Amino acid sequence: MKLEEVKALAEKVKSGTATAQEELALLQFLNKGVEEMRVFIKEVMSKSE
Amino acid sequence: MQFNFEKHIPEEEKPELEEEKTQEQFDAEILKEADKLGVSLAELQKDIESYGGVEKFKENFEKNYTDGGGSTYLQMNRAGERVSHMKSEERNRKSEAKGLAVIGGILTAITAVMVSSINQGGNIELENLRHPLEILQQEWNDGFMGKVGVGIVTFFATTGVGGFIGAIKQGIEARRTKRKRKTEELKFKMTGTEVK
Repeated sequence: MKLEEVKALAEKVKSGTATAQEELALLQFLNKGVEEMRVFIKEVMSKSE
Repeated sequence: MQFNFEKHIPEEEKPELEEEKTQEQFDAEILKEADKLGVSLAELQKDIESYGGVEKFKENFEKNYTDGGGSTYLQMNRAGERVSHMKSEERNRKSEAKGLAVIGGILTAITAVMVSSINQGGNIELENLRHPLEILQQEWNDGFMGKVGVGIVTFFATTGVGGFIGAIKQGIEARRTKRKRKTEELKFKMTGTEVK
């Protein structure tokens, strides 16, 4: 999902106008993002070794 | 007595009902995703701790992904400055751009879910977390992406996951109830019959 799409979904969720499907999509993005963030953190942390 | 709603709805209006059925499934999945997020965030915290903590992340990130003055390579390029490209730096820049894009998306998404949950449920625990996230969002908008990278890692490393997810789930439940009520009102308008 592109950042612009995330922003659009986020705005809908924030304003309370998102459908259940849209809310689910945002949470799924969040979960995927956290997994990718774990990979990035691992990469950063292993740099000095 | 169970009311057979579908039987009384004209054929052309049935898509609404099918949508509602699916919405129930979406709602169940939303709660599952929230639980999953709780597990992922707890694992993220363990990772940060086991790799050496937030300070080590900050040190490594600043040393390897910024120009030493807090600017990331990404910002330097945006400003049009020349960066000497050793092979390793090139790799760092690419991975940094990807990592920061993910972090920006996470920040936007988690702020939205949290603000919505606060609006729905007025949870005090979330209200206390709102300000740090809004500051990060502002810094992101201002282009301090490297700083936000460190900030969001710090945020996740130091926030109590259980309470956070619990509060978010309260918000989810509130939105679910609101949607359900809306659907029931629609059913009532369509049939003039209260549905249980």
